[in-house]
Amino acid sequence: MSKIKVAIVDDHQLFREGIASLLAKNEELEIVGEADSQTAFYELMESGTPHVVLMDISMPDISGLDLIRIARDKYPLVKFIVLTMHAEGQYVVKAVRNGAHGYLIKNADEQELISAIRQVALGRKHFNNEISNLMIGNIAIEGEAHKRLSDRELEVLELVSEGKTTKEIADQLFVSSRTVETHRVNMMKKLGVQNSAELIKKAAHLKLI
Amino acid sequence: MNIGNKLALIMIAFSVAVITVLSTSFYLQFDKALRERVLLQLSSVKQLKIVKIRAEISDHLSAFKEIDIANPQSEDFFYLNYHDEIPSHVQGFQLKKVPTNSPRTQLIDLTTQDTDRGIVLGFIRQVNDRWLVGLAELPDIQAVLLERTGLGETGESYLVGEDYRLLTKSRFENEDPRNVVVKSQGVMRAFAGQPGEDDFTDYRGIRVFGAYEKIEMNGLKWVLLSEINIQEALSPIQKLRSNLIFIVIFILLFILIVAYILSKMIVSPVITMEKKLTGISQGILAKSERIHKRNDEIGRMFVALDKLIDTLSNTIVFANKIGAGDFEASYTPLSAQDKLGEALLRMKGQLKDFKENELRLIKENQQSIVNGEERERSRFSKEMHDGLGPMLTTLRINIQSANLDSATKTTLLQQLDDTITEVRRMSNNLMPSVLTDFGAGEAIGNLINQIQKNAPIIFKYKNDMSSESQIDDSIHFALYRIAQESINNAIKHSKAREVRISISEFDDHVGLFISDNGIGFRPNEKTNGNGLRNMKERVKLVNGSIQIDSGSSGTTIEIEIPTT
Repeated sequence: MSKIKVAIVDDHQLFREGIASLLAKNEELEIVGEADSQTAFYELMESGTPHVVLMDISMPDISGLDLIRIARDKYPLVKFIVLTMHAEGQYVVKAVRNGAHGYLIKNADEQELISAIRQVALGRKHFNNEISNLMIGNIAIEGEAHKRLSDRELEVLELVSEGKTTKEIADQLFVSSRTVETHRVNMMKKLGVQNSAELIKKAAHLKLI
Repeated sequence: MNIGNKLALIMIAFSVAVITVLSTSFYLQFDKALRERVLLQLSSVKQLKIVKIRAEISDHLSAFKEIDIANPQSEDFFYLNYHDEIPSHVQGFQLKKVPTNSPRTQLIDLTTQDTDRGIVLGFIRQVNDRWLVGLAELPDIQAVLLERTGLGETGESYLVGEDYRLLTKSRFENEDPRNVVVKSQGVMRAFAGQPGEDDFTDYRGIRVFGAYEKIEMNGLKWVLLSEINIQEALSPIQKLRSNLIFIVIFILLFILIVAYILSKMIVSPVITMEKKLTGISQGILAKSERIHKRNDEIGRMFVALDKLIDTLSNTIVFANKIGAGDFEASYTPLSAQDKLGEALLRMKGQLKDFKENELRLIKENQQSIVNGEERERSRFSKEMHDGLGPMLTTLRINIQSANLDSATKTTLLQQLDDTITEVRRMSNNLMPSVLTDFGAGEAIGNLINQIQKNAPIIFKYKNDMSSESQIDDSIHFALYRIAQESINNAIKHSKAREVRISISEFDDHVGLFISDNGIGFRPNEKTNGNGLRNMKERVKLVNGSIQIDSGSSGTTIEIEIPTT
């Protein structure tokens, strides 16, 4: 079996060298290049296609996550593992959405790093428990595709149809009464109706409630 | 000289002129009328006496005619006798020559030749070549002359003979009248055949009014004069004159008083007005006491003055308001020419602009300070996260690959991991990278998740921000800091069991709503902490509005920040 070609994209030279020397010890892996910027990354990709790219997020000229989204279409065979200091779910979710196959925090152990590279090279995804948890905590944000009404508006609509007053809705949704009113007005605008009664009628017709 | 004196002077001068003209003309008229009256009266008295004297003489002439020629005897004559020729002397009287060819009885005045008798006349008539001579005394004539009816105190009538001697006794001279020569103007004119009446100097050297006429009968030539002293005749006019003077003085006094009062009435409000205007020029704006409630020009002048004071006061109020920074104060220019008002309005506009400019500059300053602070935090945070972090992780890699015994390696790695966590925490505290990369909605969510781990409070958070939000970073920062502050407050002070936070994005604004069921606080009370103040400042800097309601059942904070 041929070696897994690994490239490292990070703006910290010391880190790149550290990782390179760490991975170089493993015979399965071959470091095919390093890049510290978007331009350097493209040059690297031209010189030889790696199997796996370890991608940092915070770089001076571009976010690694954005670079993944661009590179995924350009180099569909290349797989990306995000290797970052960012330990927040939002980054994980975005990484997944942009097509990353794995997500690792920079202080991950050597074993985990290598295991992740292996799995990803095989076409699997690698997200450890910690990362998965982060992702799940934020997945709700990534709702379904665009609807005519937002989630919050649907909630308000539901409560309006139950005959609740603005004040009651505000209490239940812990928003201000004015916000509820604004939602209501926005919904009426979106559905092209003049008053609350028409709103409920139209919503029922559209099977929104 | 003030207006009052001028007015009084004019009034007095005018009235003196009128009174002088009136009284002079009245005096002259009266004088003329009085003279005419006196002369007329004298004339009629004279006429009456002439008639009586003529009658008396005629009586004697008739008596002399009717004397019985054969036996001449009559009581009327104290001598009666025939003479062949006209004698030169009869009874001591010298008979002057008489015309002898006249058939009529000739009269000769013999009064001055006898000192004992009164008026004595000689009668001579030719009877059959002889001459009848009679002498008679006519005392009735004296009586007629002494009759003073209509002649007042100083009036007298007297007869003057051809030799200008007084024939009758003078009322004033005790001397024998025959020694008194009368050659006054009246006598001369009468003898010259010009009867009349006039004023002249009489035989006593006193000015009199007199009427005079010649009595000419049968050769007898007398002049009768009726006179009255001018002084007495004109005494009514003297009286009138003193009366007039008295009246004039009285009227003048009256006019003086009236003029004084009138000028006072006109002048006193003018003086008040002058004082007011002087006051106004010194900046004293006291309203008039409304004592001059009148409908004339002066009253209207005071109404105008009050109006002036009112408008000036209003202008002052307006200016004060502007000075105090109340640029909503309104002012209607009094007219198109209201220069002061215009200037004030312009000033207001300029001050308003200045103020707005100043506020804008302050705001921009604060914004730039806040933005600078956030930038700095962000830079620090990134430095730690992206600079220090990788170095630590590099160190970690190196430790992992270092030739160390496993226990030491584990300890070192553990310490290093703690350090990395700490660096991450510090970086996060300074400025969460999620805030810059994913916005306030996500960052607040992370913050709450982090706090929730250690806090006894239940947080409920609803993020309703759009993932493609185009909202400016500064608003995200503000929202995050505000949420952070209010969450801190809730944890520290509210004693709440539950805190609800929601953030909602709309077309034109973002709403942040935070409510807790804690013990509340007094939003307006000054506290030592400046958390609340910072919150308000942050909201203000992004042109947002904040509404805080706090009571015993909890606190709600509602923030709206415009995004367009």
